[in-house]
Amino acid sequence: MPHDAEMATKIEERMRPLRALYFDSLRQRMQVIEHALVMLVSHEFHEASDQQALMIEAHKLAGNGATYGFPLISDAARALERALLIDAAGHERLLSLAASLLDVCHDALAEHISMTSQASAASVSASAVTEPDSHDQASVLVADDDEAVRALLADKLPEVGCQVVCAEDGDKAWQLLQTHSFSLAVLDLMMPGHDGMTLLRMMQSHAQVAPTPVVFLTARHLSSDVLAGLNGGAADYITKPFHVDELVTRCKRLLPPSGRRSECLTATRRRNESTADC
Amino acid sequence: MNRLLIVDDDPMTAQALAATLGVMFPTGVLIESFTDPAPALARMQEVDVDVILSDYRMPTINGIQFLRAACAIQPYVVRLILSVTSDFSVVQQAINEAEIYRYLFKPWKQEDLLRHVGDALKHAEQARTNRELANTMLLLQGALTFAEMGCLDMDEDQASGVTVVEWGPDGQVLLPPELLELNGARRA
Repeated sequence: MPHDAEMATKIEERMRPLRALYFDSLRQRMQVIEHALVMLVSHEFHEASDQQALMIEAHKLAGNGATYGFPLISDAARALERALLIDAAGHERLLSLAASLLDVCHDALAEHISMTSQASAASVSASAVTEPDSHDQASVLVADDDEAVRALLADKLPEVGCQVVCAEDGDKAWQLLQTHSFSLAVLDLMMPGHDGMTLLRMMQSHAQVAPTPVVFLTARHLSSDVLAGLNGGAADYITKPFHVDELVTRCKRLLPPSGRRSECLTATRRRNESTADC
Repeated sequence: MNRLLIVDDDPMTAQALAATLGVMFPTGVLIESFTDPAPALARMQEVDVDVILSDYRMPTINGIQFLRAACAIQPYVVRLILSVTSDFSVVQQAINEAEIYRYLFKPWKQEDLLRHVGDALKHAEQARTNRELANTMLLLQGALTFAEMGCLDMDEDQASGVTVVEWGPDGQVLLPPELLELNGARRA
């Protein structure tokens, strides 16, 4: 039986139901890589356990990435596996390769989520999008799995006239972003569900939430991480541990001036509607 | 009917291979996939397998160790490795120690997978035909008794893996009743 377009189409049809499972497994593998990154950043990376775990994930991602339509994942994973196995790469190189792999995984996940959520996002009617209680009060989303951080920001940000809505994971944050209008989103980079970088990319691909500025609040403090965050489109990047007053000041700088907030929100909404009409 | 075993500890790869090969060989090939080599070896004790497509790097035993164990159960099974690993030493070990038929790389191209697995299935079929012909020759030359030939000819699903032969007091092979009937029918 020759390989032809008809066969390729049939294979694609058979693979389609497997893709959802693939993204579930991708999320799990990304968590292991994120853990390894944290260990690398904090110089607590154990060559025995952490390296072995990272190698297994890299090996599997190298093997199945291209199969599910993501050759960049295969390439990045193969480079990391090679660095771990053969090259005995140093700390900085491992950090860079693991971050690159995580980056392409984020892209793949964001692409998948964007495609699958388009239909449901389209079904969210304009009436479902609720405005903040007061049009003159800015609304800030704080998404962080650390309860202490959420509590601190929920306590401090209202001092500059903000209404704070908290989410303990990325999935809840995404739900809130789709159903509420926020003037600013403070996102943890590493949290359960969608992580900060994935959320930012999802926001960028949805016109309704794309204009919301994002501040990353994270333990990843390397200059390469900061550059990746800012180049990825974040308005600011704050590393943990942080001074809360500094964070509040930085956030305030990104908020529209009081009194103009309702105008800004309305203008943003109008712009989005006219873009959608085009 | 040919039987193809897929062994890969990554469920996503095993399922993708099963789905892909299921389309490529829609008839005439039974495909079974495993994410652990141990149940795959247990399965080989139960049924005849024509081709094995195995991953190399697996947590319990590697692909070469698995294929050597598989070969001990069914020496004629055609063995392929499909792996991300491209180290020359691993490929060399696979050829020398597991006597593999082909070494394929992940990620695979569909046309390559179709060609190599198709070749392996043809090779298994050809090898089976050759063995049957060789047994017929031995029978004609008197080196193989009809009873032994009958045991070799037994239906594969019933007599796969290990064939138990009962011996008589004088060293003769005792045929089971169904084979005696078959033998009688052939003579008639």
